Amino acid sequence: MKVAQTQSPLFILRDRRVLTLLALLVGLVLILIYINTAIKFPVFVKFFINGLVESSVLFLMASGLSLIFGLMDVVNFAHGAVFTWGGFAFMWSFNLFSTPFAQAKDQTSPIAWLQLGLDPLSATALALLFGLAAGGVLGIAIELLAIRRLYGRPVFQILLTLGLVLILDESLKIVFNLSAPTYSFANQPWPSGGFRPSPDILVNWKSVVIIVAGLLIFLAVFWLLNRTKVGLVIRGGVEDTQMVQALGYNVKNYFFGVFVLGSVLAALGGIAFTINSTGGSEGMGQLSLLTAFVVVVIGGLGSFSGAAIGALLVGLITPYIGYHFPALADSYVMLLLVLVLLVRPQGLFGGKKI
Amino acid sequence: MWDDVIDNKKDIANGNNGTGGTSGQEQILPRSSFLVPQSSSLLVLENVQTYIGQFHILQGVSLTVRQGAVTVLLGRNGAGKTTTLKTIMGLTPAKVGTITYSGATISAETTFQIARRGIGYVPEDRGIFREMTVSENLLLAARDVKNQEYQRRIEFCLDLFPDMKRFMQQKAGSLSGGQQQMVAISRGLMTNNKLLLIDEPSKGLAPIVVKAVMDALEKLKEYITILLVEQNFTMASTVGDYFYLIDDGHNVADGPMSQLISDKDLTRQYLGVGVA
Repeated sequence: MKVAQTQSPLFILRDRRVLTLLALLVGLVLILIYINTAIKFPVFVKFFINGLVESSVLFLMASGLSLIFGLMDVVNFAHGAVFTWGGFAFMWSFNLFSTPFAQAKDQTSPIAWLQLGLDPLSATALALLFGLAAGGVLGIAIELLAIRRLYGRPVFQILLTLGLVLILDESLKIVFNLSAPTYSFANQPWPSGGFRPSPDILVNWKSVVIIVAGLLIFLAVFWLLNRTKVGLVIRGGVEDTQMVQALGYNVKNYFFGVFVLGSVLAALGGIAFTINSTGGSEGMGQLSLLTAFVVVVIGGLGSFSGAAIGALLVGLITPYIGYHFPALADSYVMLLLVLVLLVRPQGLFGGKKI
Repeated sequence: MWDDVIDNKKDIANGNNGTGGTSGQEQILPRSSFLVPQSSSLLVLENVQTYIGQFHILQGVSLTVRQGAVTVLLGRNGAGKTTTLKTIMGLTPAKVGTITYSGATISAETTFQIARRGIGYVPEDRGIFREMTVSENLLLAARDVKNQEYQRRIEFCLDLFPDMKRFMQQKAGSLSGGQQQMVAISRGLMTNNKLLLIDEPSKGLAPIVVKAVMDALEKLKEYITILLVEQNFTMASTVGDYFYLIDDGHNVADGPMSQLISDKDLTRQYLGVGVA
């Protein structure tokens, strides 16, 4: 006897693509209900853009951390200090390059000739190079003098990098001659102003630049890791260092490069932070570092794309949480971490995947 | 070098033994060249002693790998065969003794420097990069190889292991043990290696797959010098030209493989094999 095989119409839900589409639609409907009931549309858009900027800064910090901590298993607490140094080097050099020599407070200083009185775009570009170079030099010094001897020894890495945080934070005050814990721009850096897509909404150009910078860095590092031979060596080295050596590659050099790249990205994060906040404070790196660690764990250790998604998630949610539940503004990130780890202990994209 | 491999292959296909007329004779010799004089030794270990932690694993291994031949290291589990290969690669560096490759002392060099001299390594666990696809595994192994040469090497590997065509874009971690072994051996052929160290290629494989790997090694030994660690006596005696018997970190016997096959006492004493 032939039995007719009938298929439930719900079988379509087994398709992951259909499920993703449904989840997106449900999310969209919930957002529309939220806009109509709990928040005004212009405020929603403002928070959304602020969230994207926050995500971008967080991603720049977390991307370096994802490479150093997620891929290479190096616990580097000094990453936050590099973030601060990058931001401060940028602000300090911008102030230097944008101030005309005639207005210099100390014209006898050996670096007074660098007070070139440049326009905001030129001064920002030069200061950007200076800030990135500061991150690079710190990355080179930390890897060569400290981390190189401590690969595979996490307890020593924690102790040593915590010590480095103290040294770097204190030397920051000396190098930049700080009299107060905060520091700001003497002139307005590039870009200034903004545009209005509607009369109620103002979008700052600096927000646009920071969002685009985050996106470009994501694409560039993703391409490096997944589409180049260097990326293959790095991924191979993370999976089986000895085997990559046995194929004739000096893995130490590649890991050194990754560490320096991670530090440069941290410095870029610090620069984006100072542009967005029009200034910075001594503790800005350590505060961001904690959130960046959470972002990397939420995204999944070893997953660069996971770090980007984690940063987007945390960055986008932050302004709305701060608006509706101010008491949770600082602690919700930890709650989110607990929630994600309860459902997926390996993080959203965990499992040493890039 | 690869031009010479292809030329050599053509020569053999035409019934020529491939020893004449190519500049690549120093690197790739056909099997018939096994009985070459001692001066053509490619790798020499002299009284090599290696420690792993406090354990004195290799207690004086001396051996010679002749160019163009397949030399097999035989011995019981824990005798020191795998450690010998790791010591050659600098993964467990020798504390005493010297290792000479192509006339240069390599005992003090690091693993990547040794590999760059032209020594390929296929470890016991295959050392596959599980998160990468097969083609990414091969591309990574093709160090300092230009695109055209890379394509020729890929073709050579696919000729050796035609099955590999089916899973080139598959993640290496999802492959069976036999398929992973094909990838691991192919990886050793992706760059300008003159010597291939292969550690127990038949381990954990089904008999039919062991036969396929053995056939591949039979073909491969026409092109590259091999130092093989193998517990499977059938494979070792079929593929090998020369043997070294290792026991408790020393080499206790060596000679042409035919001599070992005919010496029933030796095989029974050290390998637990009764050769009919």
